[in-house]
Amino acid sequence: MRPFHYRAPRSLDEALALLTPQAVPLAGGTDLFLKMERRQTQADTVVDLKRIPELGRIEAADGGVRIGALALMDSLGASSLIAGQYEALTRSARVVGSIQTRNRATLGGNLANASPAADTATPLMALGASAEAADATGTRQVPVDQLFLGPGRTALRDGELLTAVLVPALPARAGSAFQRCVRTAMDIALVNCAAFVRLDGDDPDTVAEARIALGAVGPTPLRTASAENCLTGARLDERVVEEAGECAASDAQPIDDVRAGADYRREMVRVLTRRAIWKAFRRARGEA
Amino acid sequence: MKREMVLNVNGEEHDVEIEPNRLLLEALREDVGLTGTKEGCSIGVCGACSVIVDGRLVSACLTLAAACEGKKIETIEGLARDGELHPLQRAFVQFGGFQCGICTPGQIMAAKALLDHNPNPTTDQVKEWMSANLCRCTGYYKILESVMAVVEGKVDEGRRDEAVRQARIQSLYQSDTYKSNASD
Amino acid sequence: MSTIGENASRVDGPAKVTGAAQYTGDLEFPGLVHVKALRSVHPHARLVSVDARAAEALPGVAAVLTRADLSPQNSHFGPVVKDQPIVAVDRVRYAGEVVAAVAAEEPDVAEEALDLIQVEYEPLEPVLDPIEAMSPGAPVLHESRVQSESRLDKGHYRYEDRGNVLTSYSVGRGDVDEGFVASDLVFEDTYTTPKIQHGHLEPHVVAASWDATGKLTVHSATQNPSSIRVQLAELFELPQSMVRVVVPYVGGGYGGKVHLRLEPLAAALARKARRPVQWKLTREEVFLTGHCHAAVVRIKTGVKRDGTILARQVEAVYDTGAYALTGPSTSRNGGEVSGGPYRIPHQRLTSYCVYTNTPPTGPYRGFGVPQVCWAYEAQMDDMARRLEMDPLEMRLRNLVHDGDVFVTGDTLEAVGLEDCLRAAAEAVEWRGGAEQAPRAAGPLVRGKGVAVMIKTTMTPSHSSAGLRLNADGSATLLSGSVDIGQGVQTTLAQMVSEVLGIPRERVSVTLPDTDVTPFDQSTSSSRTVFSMGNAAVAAARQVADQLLEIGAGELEADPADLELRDGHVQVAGVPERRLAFGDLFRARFGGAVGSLFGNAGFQSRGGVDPATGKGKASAFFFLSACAAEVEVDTETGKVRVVRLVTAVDAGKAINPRQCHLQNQGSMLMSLGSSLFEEMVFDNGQPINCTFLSYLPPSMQDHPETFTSLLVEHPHPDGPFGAKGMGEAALGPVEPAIGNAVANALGGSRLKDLPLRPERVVEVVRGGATDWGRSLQGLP
Repeated sequence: MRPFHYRAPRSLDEALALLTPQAVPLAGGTDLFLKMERRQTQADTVVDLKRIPELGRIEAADGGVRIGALALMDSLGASSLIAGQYEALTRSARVVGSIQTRNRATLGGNLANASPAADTATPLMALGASAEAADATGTRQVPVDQLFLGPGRTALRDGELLTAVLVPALPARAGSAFQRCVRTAMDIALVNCAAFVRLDGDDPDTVAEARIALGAVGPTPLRTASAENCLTGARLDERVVEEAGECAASDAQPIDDVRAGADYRREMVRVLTRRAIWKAFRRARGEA
Repeated sequence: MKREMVLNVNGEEHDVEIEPNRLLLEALREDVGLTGTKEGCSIGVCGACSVIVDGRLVSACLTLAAACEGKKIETIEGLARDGELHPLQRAFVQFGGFQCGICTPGQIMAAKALLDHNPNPTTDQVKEWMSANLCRCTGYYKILESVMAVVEGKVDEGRRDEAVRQARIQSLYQSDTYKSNASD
Repeated sequence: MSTIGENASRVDGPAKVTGAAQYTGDLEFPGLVHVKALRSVHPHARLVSVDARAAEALPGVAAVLTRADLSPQNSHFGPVVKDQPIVAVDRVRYAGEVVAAVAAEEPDVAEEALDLIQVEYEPLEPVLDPIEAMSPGAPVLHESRVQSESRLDKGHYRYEDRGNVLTSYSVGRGDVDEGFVASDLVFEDTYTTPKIQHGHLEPHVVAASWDATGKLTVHSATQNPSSIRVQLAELFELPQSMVRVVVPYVGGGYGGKVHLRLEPLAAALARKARRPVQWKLTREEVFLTGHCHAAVVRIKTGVKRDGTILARQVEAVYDTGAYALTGPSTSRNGGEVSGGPYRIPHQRLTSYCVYTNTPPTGPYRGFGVPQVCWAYEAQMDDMARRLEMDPLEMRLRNLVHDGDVFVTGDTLEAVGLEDCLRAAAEAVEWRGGAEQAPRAAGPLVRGKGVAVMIKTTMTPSHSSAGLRLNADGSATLLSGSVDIGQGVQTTLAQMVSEVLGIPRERVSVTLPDTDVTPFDQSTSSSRTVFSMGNAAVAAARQVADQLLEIGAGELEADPADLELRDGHVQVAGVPERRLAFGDLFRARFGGAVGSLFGNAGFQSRGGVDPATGKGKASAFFFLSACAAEVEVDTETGKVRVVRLVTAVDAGKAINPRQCHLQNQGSMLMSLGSSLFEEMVFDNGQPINCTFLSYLPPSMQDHPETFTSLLVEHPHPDGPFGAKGMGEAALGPVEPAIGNAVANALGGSRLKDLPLRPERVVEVVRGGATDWGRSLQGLP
């Protein structure tokens, strides 16, 4: 690994002041050090954020939950504020890498690294979450589904730090689910899918609102509008779910790579979308 | 750019002088001199470098040594106390939870972190927890068996059998003629 | 208290569970410099120029090795043919080949120096597929075939003098053409297996130094110190006594650490730098340093309606990569048994060792056999399905038995194969092959499969051992067998202790140090218990005879009436009349001093004639069976192995727990290559050289039922009846899983490993079932 300066600020302000163009923020390091070994970053200063306590908190906020960017994946997976409510997020946090990884990796790092396969991105998109970004001038919010611009590229500006993720309150009669397709237990997702479903107050078989997000099948995690449209206002049955799966598959933009071919990935989008919708639906009805 | 710092490893303070880019793995093996922590993949997926930092199991190959200043680092060398093996170490020997042994320190540290956190895991929980501790020799079955032996309190049964065996050997070799020979 | 068959605790246990056990990478040497290698980015190119001046001038660099440093006579090495350069000379033949290497004070400095080496390549057309490599007009990797054969393995192979085919092997019996005519049905299929990597958790590592007397010392994570010493002596023109190879504990090998790998370069660089050097590979480099031969196997079989196999013809092509290593022996080994463990009157079996522009291969657990086992056992199930027979019954009808003459001419002895097959099938509650398990809920289906395997061991081969008995009744066995995880120190101690009648704890077994330990051909081919075990037992018997002789004098008894027990010599059945070993030493030496020595060698005899393919192919045969139950998600194509059972004929299990560990390790390794593992190339560039993308199985991928069974049909030539068994469980796992998947899918067959989910989905949808490459154009 090339030499660098190491800074471990104790406060957010101190950290923001250190984040010059030559500096790179360090969260868990599980992605950053690999990039550094491969000389994929030119940074000469590493700003370790782990010693800023406020960034690691998970707390209730505005009926929803505010997750500090430095919250560990393991803490996220174990949080009682999240489990039972945001089931898709809990599931995804529990399957990111290994326990060794989840003990270092952070939610902010998983998002800011902007991998198309990031497991937590799709649940947050499905749950309608926003990212909070801060720089020396103040903070702003970016919806998670607008955060990603391409592989490794986010909407964060130079000098801006992802500080938290805000997940809105879960409405009544709503549920979410997360599905992923892997080959071994330790594999990176070939495809992942998160579904959020809110049911009609009068008819528990009808979908009032749906959000479906897909991972590893495009340059960024993506929402599938056609599948969402297909579900919204529909009474859920095999045919509708099948159709939503088809829509999702046609919205996917997978590529061939060492893990799987594009055709297979598209097929898996269809399968996982269907399975995620049914799971989210059952949760929305309080059946699971 | 080297900096002096103190690393607390297995309850002992070690003064080291290291570069900021020094990984915990390198610091343990080369600066502290504890080579029980192994390097297998360098990208945090094989588990051979598993150590415990402030109670959390981490890969030492993806952890900066500098980030561990002031933290409590546990490695395989710290498990045995006063020459007495840790129950997990005894279990791995008794139940054959290793072959070539290169992954073993990581396996045992992973199991220790699990049992520290949950003394009564199910086999499925053990499998899930230890799934990033690769082993290419054993096929995992006897590793699982060794960990479950500790969970189920079976380790000391084997220990009694072994004690009986050793006592018998001692008696054989201390009997009659051996003692007399020793004084020749 | 006999210790044969006892689950003795491993002597290396305490060291390995405390982190105290030292591996090559843990050793320290004063003045050590670190090595980093510059590797070719091209799969095939002419090497126009290599300029290392700027690298040599970098502060902290001790030496740079390039082709300019090699002497023309001693630039190449190899266990069969010397075709592999220490660093690339005129050409590079695979992406990842070492072009130059730097030794520097710090690894980072060595890394930096690599960037300063200027290399000019002239790219050449690569040939990446073994079938293409055999066709006329294909680019030829080795224009001037290296004629000299290495000293170790001379005269054992049939060399081809054309293109990229280095050697071939063929053997037969009867008349296959007539056999096919007489058959009711003839099946012809092509099966493939990809390149896979050993994945030993310890990357290759070596340290080399030269002392003032000109002696070369190499500490290496190798599987065969003795033959490495032979080859290094030859390469550096030294007497063997001036090469010392020391092998501490080795962190796994599975064939990947057999023969020279890093040692020649490290030794050459140490000589130039005049400093001890250490070279540790990165994980990515391990993937470039050796893997299993990919193979394409065409198999044609004629059967009678009653399921009797009449004729079989096999052509197996082994892709040996850019350099031969053991390719000639691996492909021969596969060819010999490619007809399977069946009585087939008409056979013609042929195998080829072919060069391609891919990283070099070498031994991999199973040594060429799993590739053909995948073919003949998959076809067996398809034939049974066509004949509406139970695949288990069809196998039983054709299996070899004691006294059968194998196609190579060997008479088979101690054949426990039927017992293995029945035991494995029983363990998965086999109910006949046509009956699939009831369809589970939704998209999940289940199926079961069985498979059997036969394999040879390296023959002829040699092991020597020395034994010293001390006056306190403890013994030291000098053995050059490597502890690679199999527990050799414990097993050998058990055998010696049994012969000498002392507790196994009183037997210390050395790790290899060629200055001290006598020759042992290799810790591979599952040969250690059989070969080194025989040598150790013979050495121990020499010592035992001396004890009996002294005891006979002291006890005034006939040596034939005496026995050794519990550290004493005693009159059999009269425990009061006994003397401790210490008293025997006093009788012989006048005090508690002196040593009793035993030295013995074990030579397995045989080998096959390259012209006929016949002879004595093996000192003993491995025989094993596997049964598997799988669950297939027909929507995602994901296969989950629910039950995996192997049964292995161990002859006699010296330490059953260690035998089970060998089986279980083989089983999981093979589960990995059945479902997940393969090296993937993009235009000759390997693109999944990390554990994150190569996908070795983890504990979570473990089957719910995972059973190793041992069958014991004692072998007349083995110590206490033991045979080698360390690889036996591997071969039948892939076809058993493949057969279970085909069974779950109503007979749809995947012929190519691994069983990738996308291929399974394709098969479920009725698409192509054959990704195999055609063998058109074969001679």
